[in-house]
Amino acid sequence: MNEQQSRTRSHLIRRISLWGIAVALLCVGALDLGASVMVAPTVVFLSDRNPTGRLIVQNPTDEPSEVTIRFSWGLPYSDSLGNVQVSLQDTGITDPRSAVEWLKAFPRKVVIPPRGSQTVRLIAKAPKDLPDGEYWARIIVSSREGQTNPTDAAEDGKIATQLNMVMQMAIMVKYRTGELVSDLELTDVRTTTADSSVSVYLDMSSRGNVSYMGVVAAKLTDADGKLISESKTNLAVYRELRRRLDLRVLAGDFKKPFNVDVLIAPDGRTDVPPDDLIKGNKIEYSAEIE
Amino acid sequence: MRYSRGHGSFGNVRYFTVLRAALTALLCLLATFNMVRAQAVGMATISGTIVTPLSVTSVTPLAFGNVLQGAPRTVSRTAASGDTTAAVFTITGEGGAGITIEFTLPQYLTNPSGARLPISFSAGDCTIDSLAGSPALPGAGAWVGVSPFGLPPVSIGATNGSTSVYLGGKITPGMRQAAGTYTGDIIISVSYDGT
Repeated sequence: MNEQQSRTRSHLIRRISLWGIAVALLCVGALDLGASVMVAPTVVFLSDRNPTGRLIVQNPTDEPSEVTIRFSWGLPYSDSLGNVQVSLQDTGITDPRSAVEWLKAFPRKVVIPPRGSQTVRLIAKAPKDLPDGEYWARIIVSSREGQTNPTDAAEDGKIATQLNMVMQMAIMVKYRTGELVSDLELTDVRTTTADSSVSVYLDMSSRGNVSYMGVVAAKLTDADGKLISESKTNLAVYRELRRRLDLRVLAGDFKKPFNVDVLIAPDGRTDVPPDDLIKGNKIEYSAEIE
Repeated sequence: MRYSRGHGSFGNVRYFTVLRAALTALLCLLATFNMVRAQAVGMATISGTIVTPLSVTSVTPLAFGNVLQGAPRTVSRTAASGDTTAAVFTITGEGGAGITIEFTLPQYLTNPSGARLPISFSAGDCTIDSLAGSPALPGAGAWVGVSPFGLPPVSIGATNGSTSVYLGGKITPGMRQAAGTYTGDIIISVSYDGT
C-alpha cells in the first residue's frame, strides 16, 4: 500500500469511526438518563500528519446543558499496593511530554440543546523540532447539572442550600510525531496469598517513546490445571507502573500448588481502534504459588 | 445492544455509501421508537472497535432542606427521601475498565452577600457501588463508607457498564447565621486509568 492509499484509508477510517461514535452516542441518548452529558471517544489520537481531531459531546436530557472544555494533565500512577489512579493537574505542569500548552479546542464553552450534540474540534500546534514520540494531555469536559431548587429560604428566617453538581470527564489526548516505538519491560513480579485470594503485583516500565497500551490478564489454576479464577483489565503504562491483580480463590476442590499465569499483550483492546494502537511487545509470566 | 463488524474493503466506495445508509436508518429507527434501554449501548466502527461513551450523571443532588440557625444537619450517604437526599452519581462507560473518581468539595457555601455557611464531609460519607445496588443496600463488594477525599480505584461494572457513587455531608449553621440561600459546587471528576 503506497502513501496515498494509506492516507485515503486512514481518512476513511476516521470518517467511519466518527459516524460510529455519533450513532453510539445517539443510541445511548435514547436511554432515559438523568442530567448528564456523554463523551466519546475514550482516547483522541493526533499526530504530525493529522494534527486535528474531534470529540463528540451529547446532551441526552430534555434540558439544555452548558459544557466547558479545558486541558489538564494526568497520567496513571500507582502506589506501593499497586492501586492505579489518575490525579488531574491544571497548573504548574513542567513535564516535557505535556501537550497541554499547545492543544486548542473549539468551542471551549457551549450550550448543548436538549437531545443535541456538539462536535469539539481539537488542534495541535506542536512546537517545531519536537523529539520523536508521544505527548499527552487530558481534555476535561465539564457540565453543570442537577441544581437543587432552593426552598423558600428567606421566609421565616430559614436557611436553604443549593449545591450545584459539576461533572467532569477526563479524556486522554495523545499527539504523536516521528518514529514511534512501544516497548514494555516487566521489571518485577511478586505474589501474595491470603485465605481467599492471591494478589499479583506487576512492576512495569515503558521503554519506548509512546505509552504502552494493551490488556493485562491473569489466571489462577490448580495443580491439575483447573481454572480457579481470572482477572483482566486495560493497561496503559506511560513510564513506571505497579499494577495489582486480585484473584479470588473460590470454594471448590482445588489441588495445591496453585499456578498463576500472566499475559500482557497489545491485543484485545475494545475501546481503541486498532489502527491507532502502536503495537508493543507481548509478555508472559508464570509462577507456582505454594 | 452491542454488535460489531469485521474489516471492510476500503477500496469500495459503494460499501461506505451502503454503510452510511444503514447507520442513518438505524439512527432514525432509534429516534422514532426510543427503544433502547437497560445498559450502556455501543456500536462498532468499521475497524471493529466498540465505542462506549463515558458519562457521569447527577441522579440526585446533595440536599439538606431548610435548616435553622444553630442546628447542624447531617445527610447520610443513604438518605434518599424527603427534603434531604444524598448526592447520587452514575458513571457509565466501558464495562470493567478501571477508573479514578475524584471529588473537589467545598468547605463553605456562600450567600449573595458573601456570608459563609460551613459544610463538611467525613471519612465515611461515600459509597461506590459497581454492582447495581442501592444507597442503603449496595452490591456485594462495594466500597461502603469510604472517604470522599481519597476514593479507591474502581472498575466500571462489568455486567451493566455502570457504577454508582453516593455522597453525604453536613452543614453547620451558626447561631447568628443570616437567613437566605447558600450555594456551592460539588465537582466529581472521572478518568479512565487504562488509556
